[in-house]
Amino acid sequence: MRFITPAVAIAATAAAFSFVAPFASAQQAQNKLRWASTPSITAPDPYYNFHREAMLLNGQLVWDTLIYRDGETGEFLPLLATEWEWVDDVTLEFRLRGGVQFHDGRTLSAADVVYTYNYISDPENQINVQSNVNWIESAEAIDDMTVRLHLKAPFPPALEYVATLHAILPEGFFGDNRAADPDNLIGTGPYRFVEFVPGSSMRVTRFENYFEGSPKGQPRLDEIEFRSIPDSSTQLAELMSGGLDWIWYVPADQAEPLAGRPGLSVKPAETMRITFLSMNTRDMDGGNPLQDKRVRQAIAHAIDRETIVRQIVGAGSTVVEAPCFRTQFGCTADVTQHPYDPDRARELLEEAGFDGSITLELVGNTSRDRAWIESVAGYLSQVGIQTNVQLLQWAALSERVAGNGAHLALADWGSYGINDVSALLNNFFTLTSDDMARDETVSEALLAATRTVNQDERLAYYDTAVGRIAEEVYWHPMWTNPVTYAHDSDLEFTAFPDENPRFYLVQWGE
Amino acid sequence: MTKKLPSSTAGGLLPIAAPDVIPPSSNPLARWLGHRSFVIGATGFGLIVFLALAAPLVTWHDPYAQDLMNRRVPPIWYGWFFDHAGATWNHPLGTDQLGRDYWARLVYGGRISIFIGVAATLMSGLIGTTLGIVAGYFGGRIDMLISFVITTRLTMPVILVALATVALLDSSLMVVTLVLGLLLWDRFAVVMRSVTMQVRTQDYITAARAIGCSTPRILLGEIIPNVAPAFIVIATIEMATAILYEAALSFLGLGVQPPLPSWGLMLAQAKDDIFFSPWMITLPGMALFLLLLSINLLGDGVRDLTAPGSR
Amino acid sequence: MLAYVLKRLGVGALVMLTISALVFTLTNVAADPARTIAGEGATAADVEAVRLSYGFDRPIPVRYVEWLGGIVQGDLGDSYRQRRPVSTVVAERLPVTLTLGFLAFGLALATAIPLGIIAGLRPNSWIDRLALLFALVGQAMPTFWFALLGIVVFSVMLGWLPASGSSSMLHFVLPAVVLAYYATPTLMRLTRAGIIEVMQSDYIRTARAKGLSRSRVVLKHALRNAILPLVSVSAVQMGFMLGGSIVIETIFAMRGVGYLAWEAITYSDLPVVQAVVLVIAAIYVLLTLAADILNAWLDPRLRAR
Repeated sequence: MRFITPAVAIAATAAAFSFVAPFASAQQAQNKLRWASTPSITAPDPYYNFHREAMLLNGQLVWDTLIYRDGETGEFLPLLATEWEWVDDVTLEFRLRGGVQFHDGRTLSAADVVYTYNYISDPENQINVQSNVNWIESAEAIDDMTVRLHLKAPFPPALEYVATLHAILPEGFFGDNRAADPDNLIGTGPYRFVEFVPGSSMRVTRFENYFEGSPKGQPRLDEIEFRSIPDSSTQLAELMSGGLDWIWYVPADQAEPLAGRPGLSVKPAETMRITFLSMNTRDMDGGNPLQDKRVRQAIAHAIDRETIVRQIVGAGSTVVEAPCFRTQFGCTADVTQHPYDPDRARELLEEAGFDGSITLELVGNTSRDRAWIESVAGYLSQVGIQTNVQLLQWAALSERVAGNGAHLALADWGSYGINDVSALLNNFFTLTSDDMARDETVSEALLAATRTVNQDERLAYYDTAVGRIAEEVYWHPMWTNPVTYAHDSDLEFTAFPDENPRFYLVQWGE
Repeated sequence: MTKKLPSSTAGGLLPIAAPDVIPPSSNPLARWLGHRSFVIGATGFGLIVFLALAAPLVTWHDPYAQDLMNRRVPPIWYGWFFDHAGATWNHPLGTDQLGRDYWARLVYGGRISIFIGVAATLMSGLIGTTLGIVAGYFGGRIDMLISFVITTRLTMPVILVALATVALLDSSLMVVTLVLGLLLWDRFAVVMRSVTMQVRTQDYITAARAIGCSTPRILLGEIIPNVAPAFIVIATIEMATAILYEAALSFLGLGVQPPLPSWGLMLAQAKDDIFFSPWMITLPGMALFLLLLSINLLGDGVRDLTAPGSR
Repeated sequence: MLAYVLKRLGVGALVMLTISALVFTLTNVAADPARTIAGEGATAADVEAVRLSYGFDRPIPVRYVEWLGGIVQGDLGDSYRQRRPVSTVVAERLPVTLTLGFLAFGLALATAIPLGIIAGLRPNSWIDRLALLFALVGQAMPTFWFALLGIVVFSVMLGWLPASGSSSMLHFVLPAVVLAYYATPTLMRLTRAGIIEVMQSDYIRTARAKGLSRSRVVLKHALRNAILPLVSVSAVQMGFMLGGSIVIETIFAMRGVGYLAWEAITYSDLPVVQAVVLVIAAIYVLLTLAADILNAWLDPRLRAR
């Protein structure tokens, strides 16, 4: 007892201002940015990766995409390609920028682009997220500076993917063994690799010969260092003690007190990632009460999303009204709503013949805030629906859903920042293993919408699909996931809504 | 190998020599009540168990009832010392992330933690004691086989295997308890084996055999009573271990599932609060600490009091 | 002696074989590796294709024998998540864990032995009680709570030590102290009990009666005998610490085997999970063997056997 009391007493009475002030001036002088995130990066390239940290961030720092999507306006701008056009419904043509250098001094040509697209779209090569590339047939060089991309079928959101996820690698990057040579991690981007320690850290430095006229601008920092820190409290400690300059996904409840610390800026921002309550309507052992639409409606009416968002999910989040993100193409807000109305919920349950005797399996993702799923379960229990909550890792979660092992899943999807409904709904409603509804009408509408490039026809298909999902309550859309950034207040950082921090725009202030 | 087992394991797992046959005491009650760590440990443990059992009588909130408008109300002393306006006697220890009464959750959480400790220990005790007594009593090939099983178990990294099993199978109260119960029997087996070996050579056992007592009868009538004190000592150690392991699993995100309030889970859920609302982690931390301290003191006491020539 | 070592090694190999079978079966029954490999957003057909191409549709015993055959040739398979040989991945991470383990263990011994001796020489004195209290607190303190308190005090408040990473020796200080405290109570109690027992033994009394000074008796005779049981316990404790480092490495973001294991479990990266269990088990087997040999060398009675 005697040993521990002082430590506990210190911790228990510590006011925020008794912590040492961060000594960021050193980093500022070195023009270096140190940041950390939870997952560990096991491959430096943007393709053999599950994690945003490498897919988006490295993809944009060390490599460039053919075109660039402006974070503010959503407009496509020239990056490695200066011009692009749809030749027909299934062919895209890109004219490359001249004189773009790779980090080793080689010049970018059509061969590199063709290599990249043919490599990533070949299913044999098994890049991690197949849905990002499985609509590509092949790439072809027309001349030294012109490339054509052939699609398997019309795929309207193609440019979204090209602009966000398809970083162009130098020819032969992966070698014969389908692995990047750690000593030859070359790209065209504003920063180049100096060090990659698998599972632990990465360092990039300014690339002096980055091409003029890139919408990313010339590199503003001299060095950017990334570290994996799995525990969120350790990340907070590092930020407060000056061991880090920038972190994200700060737990909502810590954001406010953290903002009160001198020398730190805390910025909650909305993301395209939406959380939804997915309802299983398949046959289950021992019957499935959710096959009764009234029960699904009751569940939707039972949950007070406004209060959860305000109190728990926190700043940066808003309630989602339709089963998609509002800026996504095809996301119509004009759908059936199920506002919080516990009395109506009880009525509906009674009509359906249930009187406080329902017990449902509710699964969720273990890496999200536990309070989210707990609050949902809490609201359900108030109308007499008991839940067995199970938090699972995403692979196990997906297995559970595919195996028909849960009534309800509180899940989320970030659409990889793609501003098109297909990047969200096609994963969940086209009779895939993650499809808990198995609704033919929805599935057909969604698939039809990806086979045409006619915008009006597409909108009509999405009206049908989105409307029916809401009407049948296959999903109860919940809220947008916020991401809270916390950083040294001398760092000039702007957050964008696509969960994609643009480090190439970051710089130290005066 | 069978000969080496005790030297490389028994001593290591139990920081004392296995107790010999228990000497009768003239005034047992006075001796037990006079032993300080036993009395402190028994009182503390008894109190915690009492609170857990009497949970509905000592709390006035439903531990699962959320109130999102009253989240993170600080404990009452924040009102006294820091002039915190939110502190109220209605929630003397404050409320948690979902506005649930912290005192109620702590008291009900005690049930979960104690359940895990007791159930896992009973299971591991049954497995370990059976293996140990069988090995120690029969010796020979049976002993060799069981000793091999014990060595195998000792060689497996417990936390890792428990973590992998729980993560890959399911993490629920039942699975966590079962996994811990199935993994933590080694100390029982090792000690029971050596105690049984010692008891077996005693004259009265030889005599019982000579007059034709059956093996089950000897095991039940003579061996079991003699290994009981050692059982209790190890049980306290294993109970503490199981509770600590559950806390570690919860910390790594793989313990019991919400909304069950185990102390380990409460501790894990409040870890980010250590900087700005340290009471949230300190309260379940202290509860767990006091429980483990009581159990360990109790164990120390029983060990001292049942050891030969106890001081 | 040689025969004994060989026999022990044989038993060790048999133990490892049993564990490998257990771990392989357990992990493959509990998880579906195909889904992990197929990745997020994969369709049922994608998953099925992966299952076929990796041969996960074949019976577990067949795959076990194949896997075992690989291990014998030093091939632990490829990590699903990292797409690199597991042996490379584990070898990269071992130094940090071993350094942490040895530092923590050294620290634990350096605390436990002197404290145990002092306490054992004066049982029931105030210093003995203080030492016992120290041990009791260590036994009742969840490691991760202690680690977080350490970070709050030494990194955030005082700014003396880094809160995470494993790139310099300074990074090892906090984790080693926390891990050491986890192992100290057992070692301390054992030393104390050993000293008490030895000091009451006949030959120490004789030595004292011969007029040898107390400190000389303690250092020359008592210590050697009191420490004997410590040697074998040390091996067990080191094994515990390797397991315990999973929590420590995760909190302090240290690039060791424990953090690797936690991550592999999180992503159902079965070959890595299996390999880490085997490696830690193998280290344990070697440690207990070393302890027994050391014991035999220290204790002439055992040597004669």
